[in-house]
Amino acid sequence: MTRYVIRRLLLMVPVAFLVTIIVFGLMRMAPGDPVLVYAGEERDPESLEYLRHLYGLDQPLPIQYVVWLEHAVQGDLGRSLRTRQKVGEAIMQRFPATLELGIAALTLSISVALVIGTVSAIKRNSVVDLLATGITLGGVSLPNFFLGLILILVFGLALRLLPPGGYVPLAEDPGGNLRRLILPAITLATASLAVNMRQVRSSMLDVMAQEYIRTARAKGLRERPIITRHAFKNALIPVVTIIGLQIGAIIEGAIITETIFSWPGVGRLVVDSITGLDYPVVQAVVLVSALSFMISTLVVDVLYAWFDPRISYR
Amino acid sequence: MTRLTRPITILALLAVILAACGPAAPTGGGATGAPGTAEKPVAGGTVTFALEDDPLNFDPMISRAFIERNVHYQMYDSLVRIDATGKIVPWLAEKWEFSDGDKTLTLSLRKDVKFHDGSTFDAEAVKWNLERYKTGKGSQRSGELAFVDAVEVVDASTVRLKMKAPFAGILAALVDRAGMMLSRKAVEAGGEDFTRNPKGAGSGPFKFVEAVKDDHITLEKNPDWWGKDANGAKLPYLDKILIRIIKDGSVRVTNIRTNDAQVSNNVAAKDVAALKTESDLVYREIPGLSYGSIIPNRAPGFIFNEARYVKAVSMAIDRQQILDQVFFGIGAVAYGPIAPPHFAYDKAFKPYEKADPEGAKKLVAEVGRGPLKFEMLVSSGDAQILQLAQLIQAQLKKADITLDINVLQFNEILKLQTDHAFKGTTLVGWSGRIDPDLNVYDFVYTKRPNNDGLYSNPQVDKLLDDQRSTTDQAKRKDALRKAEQIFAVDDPSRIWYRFGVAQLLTVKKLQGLEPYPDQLIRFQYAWFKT
Amino acid sequence: MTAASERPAIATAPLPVPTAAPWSAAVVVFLRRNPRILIGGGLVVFLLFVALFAPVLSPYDPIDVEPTRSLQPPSAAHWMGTDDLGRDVLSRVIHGSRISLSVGVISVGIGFLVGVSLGLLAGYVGGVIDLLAMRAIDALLAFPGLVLAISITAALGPQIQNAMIAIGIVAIPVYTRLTRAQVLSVRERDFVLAARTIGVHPIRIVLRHIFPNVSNALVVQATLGTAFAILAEAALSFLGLGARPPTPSWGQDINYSQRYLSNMKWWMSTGPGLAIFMAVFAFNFLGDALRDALDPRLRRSA
Repeated sequence: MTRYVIRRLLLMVPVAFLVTIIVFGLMRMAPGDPVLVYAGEERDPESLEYLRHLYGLDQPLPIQYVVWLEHAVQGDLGRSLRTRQKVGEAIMQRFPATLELGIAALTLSISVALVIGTVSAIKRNSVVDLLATGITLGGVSLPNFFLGLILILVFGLALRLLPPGGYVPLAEDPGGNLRRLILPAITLATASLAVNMRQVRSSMLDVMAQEYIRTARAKGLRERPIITRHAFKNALIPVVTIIGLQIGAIIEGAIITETIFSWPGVGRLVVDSITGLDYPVVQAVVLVSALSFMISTLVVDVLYAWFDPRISYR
Repeated sequence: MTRLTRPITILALLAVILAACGPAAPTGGGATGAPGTAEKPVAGGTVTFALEDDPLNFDPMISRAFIERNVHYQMYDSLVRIDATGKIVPWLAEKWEFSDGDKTLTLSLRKDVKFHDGSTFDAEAVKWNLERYKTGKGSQRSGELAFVDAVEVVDASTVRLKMKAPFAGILAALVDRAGMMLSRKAVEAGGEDFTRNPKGAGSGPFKFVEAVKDDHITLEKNPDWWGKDANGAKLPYLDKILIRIIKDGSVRVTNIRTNDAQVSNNVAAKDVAALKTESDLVYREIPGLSYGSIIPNRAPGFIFNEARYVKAVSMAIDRQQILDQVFFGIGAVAYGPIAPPHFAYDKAFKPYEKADPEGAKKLVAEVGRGPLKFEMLVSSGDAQILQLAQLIQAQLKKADITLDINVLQFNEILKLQTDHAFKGTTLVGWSGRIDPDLNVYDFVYTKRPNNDGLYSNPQVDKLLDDQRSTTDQAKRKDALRKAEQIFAVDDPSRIWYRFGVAQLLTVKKLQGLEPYPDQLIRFQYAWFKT
Repeated sequence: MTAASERPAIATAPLPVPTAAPWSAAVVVFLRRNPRILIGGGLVVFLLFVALFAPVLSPYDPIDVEPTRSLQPPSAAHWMGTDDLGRDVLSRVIHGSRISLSVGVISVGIGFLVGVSLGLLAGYVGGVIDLLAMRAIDALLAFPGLVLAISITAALGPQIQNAMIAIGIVAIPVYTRLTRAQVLSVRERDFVLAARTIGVHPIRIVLRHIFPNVSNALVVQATLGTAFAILAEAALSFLGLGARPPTPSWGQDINYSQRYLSNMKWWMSTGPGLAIFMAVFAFNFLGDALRDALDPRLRRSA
């Protein structure tokens, strides 16, 4: 097992390396000149030249990449072209907002999925089951930017029940923070709800078809304890893996939602940075989210083996 | 309306606005001070200002974005300022005088000014600041002060600017960032990070406390500021300013509706009509200095090297429809870059009052190269610009001119524009400056940095040089008017279509603020009615 | 690699090759047993019909600017109202199906062709090629999908063709892994070994013996992938990286009109929003039904 983990960790190195090359290449392929963007309305050629030099953009591309890589390996992700802020600092400043949104959405999505998924597995092919399947399929088909806008329209603008966007830090104003969290969390949760519910339902069905459940039933145990004590617990294993994978993809999931709700997280940062050609920020965010995706995948695989002794790793 | 009555109307209008808002101007500063209104301003309170973008540079030397000036104006004092009519008025410089054929500018400074870090403002400070702006590493201000040859300290409160040649725009430059005075001690102590943490550097009505990126900026009252209101009471009134960064226009408006913020100076045109009807809010606007324009590439080898094509497009566009449709009637139709608040503006200058698609067809036929077809680069993701481009497309269709809209990333357009490599036109505006020269010169004069279309007309260059070398406004206006007739009509460099407005949206109980033509807020006059 | 590191909701089980039987009769039986395929398929056919006959179906020219009738709420003349340039929203929604469906088909085509070929190659040849290909696929997978799509579109320029390419590239890993897993599982099976020993050309082996084993799973994946592609195109267009105006495009039209939501002018965004929903739902529904019908492993538990 330890050898397996080490092997997987080692495999991450070339993959991460490839990711950085892809993102570096893509960003530099993009037409445009970041210096012009950040020069704003002032475009004196001399100061443009100065900025280009200051940002190290006057170096040949391979050298720029090597310099970046060298620093990145030492944990220095450089400074944002736009703000001159340290990139690591910028990400850390925004990460709490993304994490809060991601966790809220995941919690919402998982708890709804557990309830509906279990019910529709127990009452298989009932109206409830069909309805649940239909709704979740609908949820996954609804573009989250459209859902977000509709929620803003209805709850934020027409009924004025909740703020239509914005963010205040949790520590500063907990009530205000939570009120602003509701709509984006629902938006983000809806898409993953279908996947989670489907997983809960099918693993419940799987488990309930297993020998020991049949045995329990044969022994005359009542239905409810069977489900809560035996089936449910075992059905959770695949669900845990799904959760793990979703945590790894938290930054990606939040991109659109953060954009619509003016939520100052990493997702919005990366979109703004791509369109603004803020190379160091994009490179860093992509690297960080690729690493978090790979690590959570590994953790999930390990957990899987731990939960289910039938799986062994070479 | 005749030319004579126009300025009077504007003045009368401004007088009404001034009386209505009752700003209390500092005694030594703006001369706009209407006599104290019936209500006496109350000191205290925190105002939340919803700002549309994140200011990055608090150091005026390297500041590049328009938006940042909204913060600078609260923390720093400039040598001179403008009043709400756009007239240049004393500020840190109590008076000024041109001599030596307008080549020397002598400034007499206030003697009662201290920076937030306790150091004293004097002639040495002016010299240090101006030299820093001229030669500092990465300075964005060097162009504005290019004409300044030397800064001489005459005595502690007198300073002399020697210029290479007369430059009419010098005072206008000193109004803004190039004239903002910072404490040398604070700047030198701040080092690399100074521009993000300018503690103690200003002498203005508010002091910098903190800035959290993309979230908020906090400023607190400077109790030792020199300004006083018309009743002799100390300014500013407010204890604290909280600047919140809210990029979405409707979210800004919602925040003001719910009193989570109390003021914004950027309101979408589409929202104005509704806001005017809301009893808790006050919306005001005055003509602004900004403009929108279509930039054709006039360089040889490009379609619009042919002046008649530019003219045809300019004729075929229905500017009034653009204003009504895209901007909901907010702003004014523009035919050139000289804006209504500028002294050189001429309301009678309406070369294309009615769209003339037939005339445009004739011009295109006259060139004799078949139908006109060109590409317009439009920045992606901005719905209003897309709407504008599609409306222009439809208008030009009536003149048999085909417009292809090519949506690109903003930075790619900027690059093509700076390299003068765009094929047809771009669609880019300017935030405007108080002196007409700064709305004109860099955009149409041969080879200037913002002359993206590589326009060049010796007559225009000559007229613009002429108006720069005198401070006589009548002479300057004459030269600028002649130049505008050429670069906007006869041999057009760009196609201007709209002037912007300076807006101000506040909750009702926030008093003392008024819109300025430069669209910036001055919080020293603000107070809350209880 | 293990099952858990696959992206979820992808059928991976080996499937039997359909045996020779009266073809049309088999289809009828198949559809009768799986009515959901009929429903999903019907929706998809309807979409194709709308896209094909858009000019006939739409009441107005979708790009005809008429400022005098701008921002009108839904009425008898304009069922979905008009936008800020006076264009008929319904006509734009109808025409918008063309962009969405072409993106769906073309980008799935790109992902499918590249992904499957790579999977076949890596799985069949093995060795260094397999190692390299799979690391590249890992890198693509580790890349956040939407970020990758946005970056590719930004690098190539914000045009619809580039959005198609970007979405196609993002989809590659799914097809590669699916195919490779299948190839590995049948490569050492008797009939393949037998074909190999009698000197059948590798390409023939792959096409005749290996590809059919994975085709069912691929059909399911391609159907679900179309839904994903339409959704991704809408998201890219929503971020301003889509079709060139004035071409009607659902995602872009929502982005374009969303600023009027705060003025309670909701109709410009709802039309295209519901259209995206319907199209994505149709392909998801069909894909789901196909999976249940074609994948015996999942049928057991359903």
